[in-house]
Amino acid sequence: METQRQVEEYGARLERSAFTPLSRISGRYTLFLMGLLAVVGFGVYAYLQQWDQGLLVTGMRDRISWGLYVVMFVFFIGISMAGTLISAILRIANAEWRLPITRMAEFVTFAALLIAPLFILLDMGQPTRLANLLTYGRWQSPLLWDVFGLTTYLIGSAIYLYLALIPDMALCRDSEHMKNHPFRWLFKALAIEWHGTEAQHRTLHHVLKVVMIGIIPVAVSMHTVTSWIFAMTLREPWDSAMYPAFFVAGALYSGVGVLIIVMAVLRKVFHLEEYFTLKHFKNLGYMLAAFSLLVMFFNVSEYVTAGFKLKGDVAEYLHNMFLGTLAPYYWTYALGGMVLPALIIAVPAARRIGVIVLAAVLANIGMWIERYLIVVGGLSLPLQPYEMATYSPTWVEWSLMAAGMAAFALLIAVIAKFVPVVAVWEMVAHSREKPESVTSHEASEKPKVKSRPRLPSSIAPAFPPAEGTK
Amino acid sequence: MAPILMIVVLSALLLPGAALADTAQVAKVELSAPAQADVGDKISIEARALDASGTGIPGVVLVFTQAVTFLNTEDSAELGRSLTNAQGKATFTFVPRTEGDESITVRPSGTASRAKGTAIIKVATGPAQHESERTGVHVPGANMWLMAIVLSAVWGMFLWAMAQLRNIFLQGQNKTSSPRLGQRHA
Amino acid sequence: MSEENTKHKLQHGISRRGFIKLAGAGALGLTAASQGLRIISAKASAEQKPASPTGGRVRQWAVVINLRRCDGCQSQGTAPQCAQACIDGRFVAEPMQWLEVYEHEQHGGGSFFAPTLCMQCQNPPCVNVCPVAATWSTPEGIVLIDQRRCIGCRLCMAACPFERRFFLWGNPPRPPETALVQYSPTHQIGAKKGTVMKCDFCTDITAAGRLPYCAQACPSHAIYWADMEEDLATNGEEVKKLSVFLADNEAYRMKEELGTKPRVYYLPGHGQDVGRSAFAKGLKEVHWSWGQEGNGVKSWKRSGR
Repeated sequence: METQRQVEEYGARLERSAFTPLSRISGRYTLFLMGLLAVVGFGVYAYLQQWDQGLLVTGMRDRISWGLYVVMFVFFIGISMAGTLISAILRIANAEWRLPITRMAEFVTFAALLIAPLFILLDMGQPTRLANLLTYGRWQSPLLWDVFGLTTYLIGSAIYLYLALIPDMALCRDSEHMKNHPFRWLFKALAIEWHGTEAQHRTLHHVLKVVMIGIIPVAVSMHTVTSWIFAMTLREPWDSAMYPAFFVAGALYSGVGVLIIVMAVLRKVFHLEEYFTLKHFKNLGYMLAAFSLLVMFFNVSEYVTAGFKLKGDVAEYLHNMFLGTLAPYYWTYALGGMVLPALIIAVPAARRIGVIVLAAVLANIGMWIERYLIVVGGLSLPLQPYEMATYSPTWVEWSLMAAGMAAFALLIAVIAKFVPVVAVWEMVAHSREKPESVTSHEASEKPKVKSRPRLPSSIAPAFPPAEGTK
Repeated sequence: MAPILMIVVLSALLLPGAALADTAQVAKVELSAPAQADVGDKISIEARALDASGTGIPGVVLVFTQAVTFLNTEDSAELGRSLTNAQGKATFTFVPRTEGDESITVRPSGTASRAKGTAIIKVATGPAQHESERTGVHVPGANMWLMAIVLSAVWGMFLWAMAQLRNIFLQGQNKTSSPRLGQRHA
Repeated sequence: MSEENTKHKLQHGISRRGFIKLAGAGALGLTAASQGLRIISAKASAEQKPASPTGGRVRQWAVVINLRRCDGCQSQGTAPQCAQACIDGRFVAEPMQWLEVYEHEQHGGGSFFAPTLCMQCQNPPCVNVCPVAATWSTPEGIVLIDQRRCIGCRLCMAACPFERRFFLWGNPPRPPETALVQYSPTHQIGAKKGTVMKCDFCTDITAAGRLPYCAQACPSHAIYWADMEEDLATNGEEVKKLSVFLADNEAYRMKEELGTKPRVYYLPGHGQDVGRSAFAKGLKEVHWSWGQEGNGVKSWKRSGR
């Protein structure tokens, strides 16, 4: 009985914590949104300069013809691995600790996949001819494979996000908190008559199982075709059969990194400390360290294999990378962005939430530099006898980069107002199946519960209600 | 020193094929070639270098040229060279690549002799393009349809998933009969 | 030139009509896209009849550059005249040099000059990667660009291993006479900013039976225009049998190991036939002799700002 009461209390607390953000807009939130919109607005102004004068306003020229825009594109594609990884792969592995994180991870994926193609649009010399990709598209082109891959992955992750969202939409529809919510009609529509019946549960679990397995090759293909935009050229640094694997590894690493950061932020802002515990940060931290080793492995594999033989132009390229103009970037990335996060996580005493988030931030800065080294470093190697080319981004490129990141944060902030950031139904169902996960947890943290609102009907109770309660 | 010189001179005299004749001796050059050919055919033409008395001279380098016009520039382009044998005959094979009445000329190399022979070959259009720009390794089946099949499979899965949404909707509407998960009657 | 133009316009027309038909049938989405993709092929299809005087057979253009005769115009005291003539004759926008003379190091410490133009590869990496078929190979082997279709993604520029494709980053200064010229892929004047340009082997000029600007301008007649199908090459003074010319002079191609199969052959040398010593280094710069900056018209550098 005591256990069952605790489980119910847990469910009630979770529901309140998860739904409060949906029904309230604080002043702090509005300020944050305004700030992000200002950054995006400045980006729009910068783009208007580019629209008017052409790509001349950027720092790109004939020799280094891709710059910050393509770097940001690859960076955001890299981030998009987070959702699939956490939701699908860990779901298959039945790792229970992933439950609170899945929804957030799917947000990150979805938002990243929406922002990434915007950077391609920014990079195009003739953006009005975007439709040519459809009407005159050449299926043999790596760029078109990327279009197919991105569209497929975007639709797939949207479907996956929505499927796992249906019961929560039903919760929103039925909840006491949301009775007078202006968007209740939206929740009702999105819940598509979910009432938690056995048949519906069966259908949903069946679909989720199929999609979660199907989305994994789609995600891996997405990163493969993105890497092929580079690897299908004959440029010395890019001409490597290892690129797809390299990009997938980098995506895993940066995806987990961004997820840790987003999780830390949303946990603080929405007061979800009870659900995102040190254990979650630690586990994600271990994954971060593991993927950092994976990225290190690919770095070693690439550079030692090429560096031992020094075929063709490799000597010049490696000299520039390790000892020349690109050296400060490379070593910051290698030591600060790859080795240091792994070391931080390896130290037991350092495994606190703040420190793990720091490791994630370092990892992401490092991975951004790595994307820069791939794009700009790859193009800087001379193809004819002239000196190594230089590239320095202009204010237009920096503004649009900031605007893209602000748009990403904006998307997540807006979605978080319509969709609970944790998968409430899954967590409640899990707490009923395994009450010990909640009770032992409850013993350590003291939650503040004022009243016990009625649980909505869409989550069927495993036990009949206790005596004397409604 | 002297004995070596003697050996060299003797061997030069004993190997008549290695010695080149003095082209000033060449008074006439005869050329015989087929009257007609197609572009792309391998044609064999014969030339004879004759001295003033009509005997063949061995060891003469004969230069074969063709009168051509390309991009409004007229010239005689060298087709190749051949050495006359003991009878003063040299054969030369070449593949005509231009159409029309092609004029082939043969003359001894160098400027010592002004003898030359000509022949006209009527070259007609050949059966096919000699040079083609078809490159690549064409594996049957490794084309757009493979990609279309893979994409269709993935999108088919998505469409199926979306169809299941309709099922969930319908199942929610008639919620009368099916028992709730784990519910026990009060 | 105009035939080339018409044929390509026809291809544009077919594809647009074809796509609208499909869209109207409601078959938007993947099926429609794949149908549309099938209609557009990467290379010009066989239905295009090229302009060729060799009755039925198609020319296969190539270029041979005799480096024994190229001294970078050091003896002339001018900038390399092939590069300069290309700029002047084709109204090439600053700072592009569709034909650029590079000074390469050679064994022994000296240098040689290599006029480098678009190789019009037989396995062109630029054509292979273009997402919208804005660049394609004609049946005669020339790689052309249609700036009316180019979306400016610059994947082709990343793919070209010879760095022979140039981007219109802005509106460069151009001579006033180019304002009234009708644009076509074989006569690239008046191209829009945000698209790619490059050497087109002057196909409009050779179709009229004349040598391109670079070959005409070379004072030592080092540049030969050739047809691999008719097996002939000419530099305006003499005509040679191409196969014999290449075989007799140890011809080579640049970056052969990359497998792009360039159509430009070099006969090794360092200008010795015109009296240049391999150790005489230095080239003069070409110049673009028109246009003032201002009114939104601005030039740029090939690298850096």
